Amino acid sequence: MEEKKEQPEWLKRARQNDKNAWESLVRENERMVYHIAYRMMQNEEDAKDISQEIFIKVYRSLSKFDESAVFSTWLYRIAVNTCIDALRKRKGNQTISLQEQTQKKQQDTPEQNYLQKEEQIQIMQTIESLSPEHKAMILMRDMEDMTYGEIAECLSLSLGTVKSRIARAREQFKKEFLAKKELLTNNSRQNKQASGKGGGKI
Amino acid sequence: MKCENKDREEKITLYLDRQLDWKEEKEFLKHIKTCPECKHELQQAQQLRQMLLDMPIEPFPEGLHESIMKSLEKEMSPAKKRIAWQKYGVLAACFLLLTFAGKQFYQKAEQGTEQAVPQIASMALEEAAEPVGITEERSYPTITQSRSAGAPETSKALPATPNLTADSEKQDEEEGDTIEGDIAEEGMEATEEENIESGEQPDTEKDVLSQPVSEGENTKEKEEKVAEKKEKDIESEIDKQQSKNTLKKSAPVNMKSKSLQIKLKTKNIEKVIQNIEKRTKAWKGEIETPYTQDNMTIKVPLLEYNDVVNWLGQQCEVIDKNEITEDLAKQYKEIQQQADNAKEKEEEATKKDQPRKAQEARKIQKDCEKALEELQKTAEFAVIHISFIEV
Repeated sequence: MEEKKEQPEWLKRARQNDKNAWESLVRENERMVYHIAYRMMQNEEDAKDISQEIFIKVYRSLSKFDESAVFSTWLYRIAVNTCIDALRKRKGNQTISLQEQTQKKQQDTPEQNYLQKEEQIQIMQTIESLSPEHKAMILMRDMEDMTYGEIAECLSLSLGTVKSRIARAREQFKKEFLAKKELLTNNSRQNKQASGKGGGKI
Repeated sequence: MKCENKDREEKITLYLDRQLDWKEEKEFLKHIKTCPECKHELQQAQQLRQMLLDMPIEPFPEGLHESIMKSLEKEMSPAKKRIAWQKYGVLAACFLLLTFAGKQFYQKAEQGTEQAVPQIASMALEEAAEPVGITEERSYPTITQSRSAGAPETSKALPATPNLTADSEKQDEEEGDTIEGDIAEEGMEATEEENIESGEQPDTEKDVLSQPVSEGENTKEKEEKVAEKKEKDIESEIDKQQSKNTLKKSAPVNMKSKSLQIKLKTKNIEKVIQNIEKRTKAWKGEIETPYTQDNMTIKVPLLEYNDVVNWLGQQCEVIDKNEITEDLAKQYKEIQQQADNAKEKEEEATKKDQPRKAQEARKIQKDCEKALEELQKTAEFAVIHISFIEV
């Protein structure tokens, strides 16, 4: 027989449409939801919209939540799947400008952290270029450090599929990341050479 | 020299996450020692993973909590629910209308055929074949015309018509197989639409907006349609996730470890041991303790267990046999529970910005995962302790 998991106290009341309970539910989980949304969507505006959409989905389907499951895993699943769908819809209709974001971030960066920040921006750009499915794998395994079992449960996939998807996602990530890095190194080398020549002329 | 290991990336990733079994891990480490290319790849993979783990957590935007609560309050408002009921009312009315229309067409078709039958009966067989075809053909266009005149309009006005048309199609089929053509096509289209929506690349909002709008339909109605379609998508997707979840959850944990102590009598121990060693390899098992002082222990996949015992019985005379089966399910569940608790603790700590606590909880989870894997391995193999008596 399925065992009932100990659930947060607000969950039962939220099921009865108690507004205060919903306040608690949102407060308890909004950071995690926004965190997933931000890392998947890679920009604040989309992450905000998606966070709202995720909570609406939770509201509409809370009555179907199986009490033998862990609420946060269930919520995580809705969040990741909502982001994957949104990314698929957005495909080819990219409205965000990661360039602008990164430029803004670069301006804000203090000099001592510049290199580290630059690397982080590079990572963000690389993640941005991955497919929604690969993005989800990198997020869950390498950024959130979730176990293979958790990922499989969260996305309703078999352990074998998770294993091969993680391998493919990492392969893709590495390829893109190294290509970007090489491009960046070449550009800076060219800039240095150009400035060196210019200096000589002056 | 270039490494020819084809599944190198997968091996590296599995090694990094400790997903290789001990045998594979041993092989992998042996390979790494001799292959600088793979060693370099592994180091690179480790670095990248560390970089990803070290990515900073972005700040939670101000005002987002309020926006989420506002959108939820909108959902909770009774006005929204009323609109939803009104929509269901309209859907129900359309369903009835379509069912009624379907029946009418069926009756018409039937009348047409009935009229034709007496004529056919009075005719010679060769002549009869032709008029039947004609009468039937004639009856179809009337059905198709009136049906296609009404149905697409309803499908335009109501995004949920796929279900209705599919239902009415079913009903029509139950009543008689005579109605085909456009009606069936409508049903097919509806099902196809549903498949696309539930499939890989849904673009529902665009679909609804791109549908031709009937006269008098204002923008508000259009927005409502979009919202309704979105609602339906969300619900169906959640249903899908839920059903998957239930299936997964209801899978029983049936884990047992098996060990056997067997005493064998033989004339030629050496030969038997050689055979056992060969066979163990073929069964994809392993020699846990090689033969010393009349004893040896082997480990074989549980699936092969019965075959192994039978085979041993054929090789030697079995003097004594003692089989022990242990239920691992309880132990498994306990560890799983520990892992779940640690996960909850980790989430709490993350929310409260307590990275140390979160890391500790993560470590517990990892340990639990390792223990579960070990347990799984134990359940996959049977251990056989063999003692020999030489005659």
